[in-house]
Amino acid sequence: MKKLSQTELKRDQRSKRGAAALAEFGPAVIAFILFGFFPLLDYGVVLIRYGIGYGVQNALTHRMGLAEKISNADSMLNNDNGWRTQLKKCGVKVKLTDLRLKVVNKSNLETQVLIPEPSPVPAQWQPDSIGGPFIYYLELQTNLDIDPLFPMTSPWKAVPGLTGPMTIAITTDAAWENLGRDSESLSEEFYLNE
Amino acid sequence: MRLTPQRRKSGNVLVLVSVSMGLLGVGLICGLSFCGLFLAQALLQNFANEAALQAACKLNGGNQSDFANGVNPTDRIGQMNNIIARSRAAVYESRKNFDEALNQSANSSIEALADQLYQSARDGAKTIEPERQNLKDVAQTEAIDEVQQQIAQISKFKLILPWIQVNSPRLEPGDGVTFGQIKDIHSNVMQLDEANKLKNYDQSNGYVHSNNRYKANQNAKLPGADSDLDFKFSSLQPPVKTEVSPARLVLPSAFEDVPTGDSPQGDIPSTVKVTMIMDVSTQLGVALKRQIKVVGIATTSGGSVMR
Repeated sequence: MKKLSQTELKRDQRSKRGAAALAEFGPAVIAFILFGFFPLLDYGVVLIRYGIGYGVQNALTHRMGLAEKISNADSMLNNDNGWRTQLKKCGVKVKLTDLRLKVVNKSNLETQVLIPEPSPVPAQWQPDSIGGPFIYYLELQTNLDIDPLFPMTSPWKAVPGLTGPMTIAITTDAAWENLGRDSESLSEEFYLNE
Repeated sequence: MRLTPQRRKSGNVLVLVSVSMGLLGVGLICGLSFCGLFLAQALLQNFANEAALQAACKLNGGNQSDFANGVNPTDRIGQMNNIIARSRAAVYESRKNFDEALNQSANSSIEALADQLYQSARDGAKTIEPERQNLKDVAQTEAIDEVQQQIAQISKFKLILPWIQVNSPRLEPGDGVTFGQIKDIHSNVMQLDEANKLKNYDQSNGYVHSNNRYKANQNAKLPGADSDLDFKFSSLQPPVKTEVSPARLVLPSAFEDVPTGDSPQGDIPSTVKVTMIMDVSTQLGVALKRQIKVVGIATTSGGSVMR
């Protein structure tokens, strides 16, 4: 008769105690679900929500870039709450928004400036400046609070993305399309320099 | 056959792993399908934007190299608006002169000359309206041809993956290419100077906007015997401080149909709306077939500085 090794002997003993093995399997699965599956699911959902947040913000920035005037773009961001509501339904809260006009020199892309909106564009960065030509971008930076799938309230400090929302900064930009001047205004300024 | 306890345990794990892997696979395929849809929609939107922009450039010229100097080398809509305004002024002035010659001059040759000039101005004005209609037809036809060319270039585009099939983009039947203008943009024609006797008449009849440019979408009729003539101004972004507004994409909310209609008698459009559709289908699980629809809108370059 074949002599059983120490390991084989243990396995044989465990297999004979089927109920004990089942009793170990249940807690193991529960432990796996609690400390492996749920955290992974939470982080996975945070990733998906990040993707949704980025997509919605990117679409908004592109729509703002097509606006007639810079004030219209600003209004789309601050007064039209459709995009915030849409994000909120997906578990993403918009905490902070920062709209800027990025001016990049076409011949030297490293020469660029960020102008916070609303504020006037300095003469040397306007389309008719001799330092040009320039490319104009609207740059939108937001801080988004992204909820996990199972947010929890705990007396301790929340773990971002696991028990509490994860704050992520997203920056998107889009080319500013309307480079003309406003013939309706008295100053006849550029639409991007209201 | 009776299974040993050890085989039954392994079987449990095997089922668990199989179900997990199956769920993971389905999740991955769903995710990839959604990504594919987003990709297809973004591509179609880019196609529509590009087609609309190219078509808009055809309406009133698209060479931007001279724009900063206030020159739009093509500017056919702008020039037509300017010709109409000047022809109108010529008819009005020559009519005034003819009336004065009739009342004051004893010399019949001056009267004849004034009449000749007046009739010449009227003939010119009568010629302009058919030419304006012709220009509208030519500009729209060229824009549509440009869109067709763009469509032909992308007609070979197809995205075929095991879980999703995206067919070639095409124009939406019926409303594929529509023309219009930008809201609240009047004509490029500046009101004529102080010496022009029409100034007060135009202002009292509301033909001129507060920015001293003629309002678009109106027939600026002359008073009296010349009220049979048509002088129609089309909407076009005016040059400001010697700068021409370049062609650009616009939001759907800024687009409006030409109020005077699509008929030849209507005004010349300055904006193009291109609507494209693309079939998306999947055979995974259930057979589904949907259409992605996108709209690209662009306005043409502005009028040139009058020289």
